[in-house]
Parts: sequence; C-alpha cells; structure tokens
Amino acid sequence: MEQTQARARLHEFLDDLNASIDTQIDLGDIKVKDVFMAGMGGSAISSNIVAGCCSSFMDIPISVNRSPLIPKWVGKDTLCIVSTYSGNTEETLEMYERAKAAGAHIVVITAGGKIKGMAEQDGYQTLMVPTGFQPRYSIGYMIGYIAAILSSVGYPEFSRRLKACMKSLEAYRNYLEAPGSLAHLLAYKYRDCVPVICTENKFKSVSLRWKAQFNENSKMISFDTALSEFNYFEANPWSEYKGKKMRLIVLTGEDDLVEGGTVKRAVQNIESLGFPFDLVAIGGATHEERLFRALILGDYVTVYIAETAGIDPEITTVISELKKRIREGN
Amino acid sequence: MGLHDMSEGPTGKLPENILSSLSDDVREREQATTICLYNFEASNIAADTVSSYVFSNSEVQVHTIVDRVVPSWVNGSTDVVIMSYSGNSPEIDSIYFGAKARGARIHCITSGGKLKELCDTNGDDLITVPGGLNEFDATGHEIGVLVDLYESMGIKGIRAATEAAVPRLIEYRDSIWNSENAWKLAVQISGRIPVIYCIGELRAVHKRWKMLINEVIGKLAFSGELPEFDHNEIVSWTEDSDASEFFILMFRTKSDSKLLDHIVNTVTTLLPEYNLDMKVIDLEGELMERAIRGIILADAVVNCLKESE
Repeated sequence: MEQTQARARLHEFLDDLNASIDTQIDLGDIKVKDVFMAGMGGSAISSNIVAGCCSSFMDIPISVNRSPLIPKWVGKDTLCIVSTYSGNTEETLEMYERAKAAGAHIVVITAGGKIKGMAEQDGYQTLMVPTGFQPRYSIGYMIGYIAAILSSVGYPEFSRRLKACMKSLEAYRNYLEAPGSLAHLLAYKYRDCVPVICTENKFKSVSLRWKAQFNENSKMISFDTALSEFNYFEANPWSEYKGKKMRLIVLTGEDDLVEGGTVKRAVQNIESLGFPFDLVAIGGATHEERLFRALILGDYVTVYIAETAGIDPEITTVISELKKRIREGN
Repeated sequence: MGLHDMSEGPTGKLPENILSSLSDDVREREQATTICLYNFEASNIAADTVSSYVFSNSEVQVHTIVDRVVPSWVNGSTDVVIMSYSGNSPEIDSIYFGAKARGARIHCITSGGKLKELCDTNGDDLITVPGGLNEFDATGHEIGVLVDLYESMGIKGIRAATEAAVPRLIEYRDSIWNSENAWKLAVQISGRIPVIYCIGELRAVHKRWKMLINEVIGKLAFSGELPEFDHNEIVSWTEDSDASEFFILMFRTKSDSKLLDHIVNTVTTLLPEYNLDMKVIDLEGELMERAIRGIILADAVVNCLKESE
C-alpha cells in the first residue's frame, strides 16, 4: 500500500488544531445572542463538530448553515463565523454578503481567495489557514480557530475540553497509523461496500464526516442516517434487503451502550432481525474525546481504502468541473 | 422494538386535513423569540415543512431538533414545542422533563399517549390532532395546528399563506393522484434503491419520500441535500461502479437565491453526462406550498407502488 500525501495531512490534523486553538483574537467588547456558522463541505462539518459539542454547555445557540440563503433572524447581535478554505466557494460568499447586510459581527476563516479581499475591505477579522492542501484536510485549523473565536467572546469551555484530551488523541492517532489497527481492519472490511453510518444526534457531525470522506477520499457511495429514524422506519427494509453491497455501521460512544439505553436497544433490535451490521463503539473519558477519536478513525479508514485501491484521495475531478461550470454560468 | 406492522400509507387527503386543522379562532400566545421544535417519527415532515416558511419570513429563531437532549441554552424565554403524533416516542420523557427543568414554555402537539398525559397533568399548552389515523395521514393535521401555533406566537402571515395555498394543493393533488405521471415514476423507481435529493428548504420532501418507501413499501431508500451534495457526494456518484444499484430523484424549485437555483441547474445538467439513472422533478408554487407539492407527489407515487404490489 503506497502512502499518499493525504495520510501526512491526517497526521497533522492535531498539530493544526494545536497551532490554532490558542490564537488571540480581539473582537472588542461585543455581546452576542447567537452564533451563526456559514460554510460548505469540510468547513461546515468543522462547524457541526463544534456546535454539537457546545450545545451541552453554552448558554447561546449555535446554528450551522449550508445554503446561500440565511435565516431572517441573523442580525446585529449575531456572531457570524464564515469558513471557506479556498475563499472562493460561491455559496459561502453569498452567505457572507447576506450576513453583512443583516449587520452581523463577522469573522472569516480562510486560506485566501475572494473572501480575504472582501473581509479586508469590509474591516472584518480574517484568520488565515495555510495554503497548499485539499479543503477537507484543513479541519484542524477550522475547528481550532472556531474554538479560539468562541473563547474570545466569553466561551472558552470548548477549547478547554478539547485541550484536555489532546494527548489521548495523539496516542490514538499513532495507534491508528500502526499496522493492524482498527482503521486497517475497517478499511479492509468496507473496501467494497456502500457504508451507511447510523448515529445518535450527538455523533451526527462525525457521521457526516465519515460519509463525506468515503465519498471523496475513497470515491465510494455512502449514506448516513439517524438512529431514531432507523429504529422507527428503517429496521424493516434492512431486514428485507437481500443484496450484499449495503453495510450498516452503528457508530457510537462506548458510554452509550448502557443496558436499556437507546443505542443498546437499537443494537439488540438489529441483532434480533438477523442482518449483518457493525457496531463501532468508541472509548474515551469525555464526549469530546470520543467524538474526536471517531472523527480521526473515519479519516484513516477512508484514506487506507483509497491507498489499497491505488486511488489518490486528494483528486476530486468532478468537483473541479462543477465549480468551473458554476463560475462560468454565474 | 423489533419489526412492527408496515403502514397502509397516506390516503391523499393532505390538503383537506391542513384546512380542517386550521382554527377559525386562533388564541393569542406570548410572542416567541426562540423556538425549539422537537419532532419525532413522521411528525418531522410537518415540522420541516412549516419551519421552512419561518426561516425566510420571521426573525423568530426556530431550531428543529430530533434528539433526546435539551440544549443548555434553553431557558425561561424559550418556547419548546414537542410534536409526536403517537405521543409515545421514547424520547418524550427526557425532553419534557429536560425542558421543564430549564423553565421553558412547553407546547405539545399530539393525538394522545404519554405526551398528552404529561401535558394535562402539568397544565402545559396542549394542541391535539385527531387520533386513529396512520401517521402519514396525520401530516396535514400537524401542519395545520403548527401553523396556527406559530401564528399565535407572533409569526404573522404564515396562516394566510397556508390557507391561500390549499386550493392550489387540492388542484395539484387531483392532477397527480393515480395519474399516468405518478405511475410512470413508480415504475422507474421500483426495483432500485431510490436516493432523493433537494435543497434544504425542501427537506420535508426528501424525508417524506424516504420514510414512505421505508415504511409503506418496506424497501431501503436514502436522501441528501443540495448544494452540500456538490462538495462531497458528487465524487462518489461519478466514480463508484455501485451507482448502478440506485435511482436518483432530484427535486428542483425556484428558490429565493439565483445562485442556488443556478447551482442546482448546473448539477442536474452535469450528472446525466455520467450515465446515472436519474429523474429531475420541478416543484412550483410559493414557499412551503412547493414542499407540500413534493410531499403529495411522494404520497401519490407510493400509493401506486403499494397498489402494484
């Protein structure tokens, strides 16, 4: 298996996080009532990860938006974090313009492009991500900067929790890079299937990441689904499915496997129906640690699949073509 | 848990059910600023449909949530709406008591069950929908009562917009129910795994299709959203040989963003170049109305599939 550049980028994820999480940002004495995160693809997933963690301890809501349209409630008391690696993502540029028109406090995270110039001209703070890699491998910087922005407006808890588990995450990453790790095992298992990742809401951001990484790194069709919907609507069709391609993966934290809990009951239900599935339960001392371990695991699994198949995870020809056509016709 | 009986599916009365559940005398409630809308099982179709109107037309912040956890920012000035047709969703207890502990104003929409009991016992705002229906026929009623609730919480204009749309929805339903077009579409998707895509505003549409195919036909189906699709999923659709196992159904509409419409149009012209089996369907009408049209179309096509079995 030939190691690709993508694998090096995965290794640097935690370094990128460390390099950005303590960034000092002076936003003045602003008081915000809500946080609105604008972005697409990997940028939006970074936002989802932070938002998902913060909902259990922050006293203001965080929303993530993946469309050029923004909700009407965005206004002068909103902190708007606009993330686009290239700085040229059309949807994000439109979100930026709309948030600006609504009077929101804007902070931009980017590696350059059009948005850098726009933010400079409009007088908004811009946090720079290094250039030279695929946008989806920039999530260390994206998450780190979002954490730093939240700290700067009086919400340091996410940074604190994340820093507390960094050493453990580094050890986990090193384990996944060693031969015979869980990532290698799962890569072998999922190399020729359509993975369907099923999670509770608190792991939703990671299921989105796994799906996107299967799509882009491994060039594999993949879907995600919510455990609550699975329990109610999807168990029947899975038990009737006679094909061999679809593979259900229940991804959860080990702590959620308590007897009588939602995940445990779902797993017992699936076992009783008798169709093949995988339970991937992630250990760790805190929710943040389990979530980030799951995130790292998915990244390695998908890159290993690509490397085994001789595919370059970084090349996504159709996205380049689509972006070109969107620009030309816009 | 375990296997439960599959639903009979919707009977096509969605527009009439919306109308019959819109009250002539909506009582005033306190003005909302932030609403947490918990929605379970098929109730999330109504939740997503109605919330799409609020997104563009009101400064009230609505968070539609499918979870058993109440966020820490919920407090005494938050309105928590718990919507569950059966009233017995397993998440009810943790949400109800979680919201109560945070002092939120609680509104319950249900036909009965544990949710109604909790609401009755504690004197919360209870809005009932008719019992005894299959959950997909309840959608129209749930849309109607949620529209009234939102109107009474200060989201003005939503009731009038809904009422105005009903005659057009009836006309659309009559044109599509048991029609040649519905049968053709049913034939196209049968024997394949359907994957339904649309923009976020039409979230209720892809959810309805997926739920109906799962629950009424007993087959797998999946769904996703544009324009996020362009940033990851599109790669696998154009490079994975397993794509031939699926049938893509992509919904288009005229949204409030020219860029968004342009992106969707570009995708729908690019994908066929990769020999994917797909069908593009245009949904017309005003905001919220176009989502309900997509729901009615799902109901009509699934009705054909059910009949053909």
